[in-house]
Amino acid sequence: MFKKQISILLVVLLVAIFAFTGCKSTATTPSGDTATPVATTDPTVGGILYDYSSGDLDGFDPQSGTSLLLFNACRQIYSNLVTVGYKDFTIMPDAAKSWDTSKDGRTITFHVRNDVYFGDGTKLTANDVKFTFERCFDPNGPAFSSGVVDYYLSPAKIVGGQAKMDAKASAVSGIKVLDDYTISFTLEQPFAPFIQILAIPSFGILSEKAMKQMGDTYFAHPVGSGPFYVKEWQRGSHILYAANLKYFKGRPALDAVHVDIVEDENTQVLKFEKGEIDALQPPVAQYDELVKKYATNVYKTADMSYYRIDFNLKRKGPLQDKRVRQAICYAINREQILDKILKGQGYLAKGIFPPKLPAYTSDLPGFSYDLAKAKELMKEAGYSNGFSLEMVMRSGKMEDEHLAFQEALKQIGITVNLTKADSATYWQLLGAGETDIAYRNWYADYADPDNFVTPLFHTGADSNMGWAKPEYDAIIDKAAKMTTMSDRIPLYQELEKKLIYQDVVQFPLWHSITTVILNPKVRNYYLHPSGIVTYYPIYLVR
Amino acid sequence: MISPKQDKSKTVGAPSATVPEKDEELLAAESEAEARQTSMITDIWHRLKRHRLAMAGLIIIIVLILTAVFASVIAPYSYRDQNLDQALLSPSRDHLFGTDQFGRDLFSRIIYGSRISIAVAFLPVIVSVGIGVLLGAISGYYGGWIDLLIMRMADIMFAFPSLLFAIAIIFAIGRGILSLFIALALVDWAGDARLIRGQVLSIRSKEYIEAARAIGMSDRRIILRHVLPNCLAPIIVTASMSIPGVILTEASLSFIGLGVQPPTPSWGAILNDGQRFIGNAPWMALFPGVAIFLTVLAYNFLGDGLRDAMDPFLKN
Amino acid sequence: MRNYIIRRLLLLILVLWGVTLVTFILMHVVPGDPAKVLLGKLSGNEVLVTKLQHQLGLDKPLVVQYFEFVKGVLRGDLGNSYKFKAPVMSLILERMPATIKLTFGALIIGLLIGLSSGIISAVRRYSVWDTFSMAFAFFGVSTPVFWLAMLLQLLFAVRLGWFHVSGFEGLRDLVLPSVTLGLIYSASIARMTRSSILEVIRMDYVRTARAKGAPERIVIFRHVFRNALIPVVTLIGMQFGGLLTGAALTETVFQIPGVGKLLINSTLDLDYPMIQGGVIFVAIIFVLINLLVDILYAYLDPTIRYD
Repeated sequence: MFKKQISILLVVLLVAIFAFTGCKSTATTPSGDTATPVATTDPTVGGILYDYSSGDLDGFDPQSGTSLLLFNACRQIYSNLVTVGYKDFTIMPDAAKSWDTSKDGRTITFHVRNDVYFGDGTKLTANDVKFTFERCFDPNGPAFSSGVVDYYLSPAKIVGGQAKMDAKASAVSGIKVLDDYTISFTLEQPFAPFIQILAIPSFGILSEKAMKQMGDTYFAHPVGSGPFYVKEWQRGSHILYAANLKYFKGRPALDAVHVDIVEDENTQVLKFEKGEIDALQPPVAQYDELVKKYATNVYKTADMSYYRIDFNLKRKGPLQDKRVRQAICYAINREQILDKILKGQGYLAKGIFPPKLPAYTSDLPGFSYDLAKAKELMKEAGYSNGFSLEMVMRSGKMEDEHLAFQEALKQIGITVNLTKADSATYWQLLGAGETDIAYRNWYADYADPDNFVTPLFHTGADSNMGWAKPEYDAIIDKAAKMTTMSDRIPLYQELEKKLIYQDVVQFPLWHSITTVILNPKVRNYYLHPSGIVTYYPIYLVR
Repeated sequence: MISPKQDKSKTVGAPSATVPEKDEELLAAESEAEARQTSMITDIWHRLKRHRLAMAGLIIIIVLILTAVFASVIAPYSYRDQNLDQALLSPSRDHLFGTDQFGRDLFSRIIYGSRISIAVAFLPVIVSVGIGVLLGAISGYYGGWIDLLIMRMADIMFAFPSLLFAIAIIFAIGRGILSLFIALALVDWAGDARLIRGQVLSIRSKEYIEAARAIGMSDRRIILRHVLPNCLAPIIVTASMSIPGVILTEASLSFIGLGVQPPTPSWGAILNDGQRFIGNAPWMALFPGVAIFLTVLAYNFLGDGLRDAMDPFLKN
Repeated sequence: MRNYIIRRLLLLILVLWGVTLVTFILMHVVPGDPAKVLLGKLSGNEVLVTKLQHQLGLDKPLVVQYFEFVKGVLRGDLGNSYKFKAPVMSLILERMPATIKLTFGALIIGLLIGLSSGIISAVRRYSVWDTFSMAFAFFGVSTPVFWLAMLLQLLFAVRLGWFHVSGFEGLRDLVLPSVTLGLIYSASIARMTRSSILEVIRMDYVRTARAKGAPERIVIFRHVFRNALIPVVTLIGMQFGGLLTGAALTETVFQIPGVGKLLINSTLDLDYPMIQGGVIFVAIIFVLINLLVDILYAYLDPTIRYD
């Protein structure tokens, strides 16, 4: 999943439950236990949480994109078949109360609850679920080009899905409604992460009836079955989520959440200082001062993310020589950049997989900062006179790191020509592979190593950087079919070594840490490793 | 019409000996006209010299231009070398204007930045004002269909906020310093045109214009000698007041990526960078702002002084 | 005069047509494909790009696209934004109130401070007041918007707590952004007013009026003021339009859902329908303002004729 903006809503990680409330400011990682459902039996029910977002939505259509912003919004207002815990990716029932997997592992049957209601009062049935997924596979629908199908559904290979996308069928044969509250999905072959995929906010269940009535206006006034509903949305100004008092898991503690759309960093800080918002992700520029000032209310979490520098292997040029790419890997002082520019919000990466992801291992060579070695490699490759490379960057996002990389590479004779572009142009250039190197990141959508390899390295994935190889595809496909994690892990680790140390297609930089400062009255504001905040468990101490 | 103090000894050169065909009288008339011309300029210069503020402005501008030209000599540090351990230092003897988040010396960056910013403050503004004045004068003076046509074109230009139009132009031509300048020069003429037209409309009906026309002066001369000079004041004001606008438009364009590319500095770009750090490193935004302020001031003073100096010549 | 006004209004249609034509040409001359922009990181996928282009109607010949658009406009339908998938008309209209309020607020403050400051400066030339207000004018013009904005936010919203830091949920929220913009605009208004008055004061016809024995006040108001106001009125007209469309930075800092930011973003996003729609709106406003200004000219200076 791509994180398009840095300052976004995040959830604080409270490590243990109550006993550890004294310990903050440690880069703790999620404990992996199942999150407790809502605990709202105490008198702190009610009140409005004031949160903010650094960007506005285009609409509340969960299938229209894969940005963190959209995920955050959809998580509050829609139910999925299954969902994840507050602090980790443990799967929990949501609209489906249970599910069975067939013996061959290819068919999963979900039993939908019979007490879930949409905002307009209609009951959620298996038909709504089918409707939602059929829409995903609609070749004229948004999911087709937004990445939702490409990243999440295609790897699962639901029977009949491709046929519908190719316009050869009008419905997906592999999705069957067995009765009002039972629905089954049949895959071409077993796919271990399938159930986890269903928890992604892209698959929030839509109301068939409401969509037929409202058409496209549905997504300006979404009808969902989640713990909140959109009471008010003033584009460019704010979103007001109000509590769904009839939520099947029990009403949320909060009465409402008011999300201000604040793009300007300075304004965000001022608002927090004044108390107009209750949570703040400290902008890097003012990080030190803010963390010092609010020391007792700072919370951090390790994201399940992967930041790296991509090498374009398609374009002719010095980068095609592995030694040059290795030289780049030794020429950048990641530690200093992480420390001085990102204020320590990350830890150095040796490979693709972040800690806590199955398949993570620290048993990798890693790249040290070694200028002499870098120059040596350049010389070996015959480029002691240097050359120039193109690098695109987005205005306003992660700019400082780009400049730091530019300067670092100058030390070994590489002139990096930075092309600063607006967001739209940036994604275009990247999508077309019109850059030699790029600074990118990837955030986990679900806790399976497949999520880190298929969307990035498999043939047909978005990158136009010339990485895909049949050799990699073979490993990825093989691992995807297996069902036991312990069998799959060695395969992924082998792939990781190939990609990074043998073929050097990317240069792993770091895995990020997210920091949030909270108003002391806010409780249960969890920072999830995916970056999503769930408002449901939050309550205010008044 | 002109009553300068004619000082022929300073200005007249000997009549050319290589043009034997020309009439003696004509030659004499030519050189007299030349003399009047050049001595008018010297007179203006004399008057200007006495205007203290204008001189101050002129000196500042010369200093700025020199800074831009000799940037590599004057600047103590490179504009791009980073030193992360020296980030965000407040102004000191080592770093006169402090350092930015990369530890780059701000003083040096502002010096190098003057290259782009001074050029931006002069060239596009002059072109843009030139276009605007010309079109506005023609439009106001001739009126009728010409007026309608030009002003409607101006209306169309107004429909596009200058930033949008600049973006479109740069997208079309391709990024780069040249397209930046072209874009900045082309987008803002409509305002000046309207301004001048308004002035011209008001002057056109005055008696002395009627008189000039009565004695058979050509339209062109009337515009050049009577109408335009009386518009000088608003021209100077808009030209000088539009400098920060142009610099800031350049800053916005650079922010989006359509202006200068990093790490090349311009005052606008440095200003942009400084925005995030205004809370903890205000010098980053302060000094480019001061630089812009000085430029505006200088331009204004010089402009005002020039107008004052030319005043007696305009009255008639 | 009435005929003139009618003629101008009829020409408004011509201008709008010209605007749409120019916009259309510009957009298609500018390299870039809205389909690719929408697809973002997936824009390398040729199949998807072609599909989306077809969906958006981009594969039709340009002339056809243009005529379909014009037909739509005549029906009052500006099409749907590519990005927001909602009607352009309603997207713009829902942001207009904010922009209009901000514009008026800024204009009022700008006029109050600018005009008075400029007049006093001119009449009391070279006095302390003159120096002070001209210095203020220069500062005002050179100050970056975000500086001033943050200063005001810090002082009045955080320290004194009189206003919200940002937002647009009540008239009170307008004060700080209006003051920010107003102060900056007042600077050029002051300067222009002062210099214009000084110009006019030197003119012969003013001397004549004085010689005729008219009281100073009448001289100032009837002769000087009206003529001097012409360039000022032009300036204000332009600023009004500029405020309506260009206050993007202020809108960002103060979190105001206005038209300025919408237009800039749609240009960068190559959201053709939105750009077209936005430009048309702006064109209408400007044409009307300019008409108003031209009428004001005639009022201020009765000798002005439009043939």
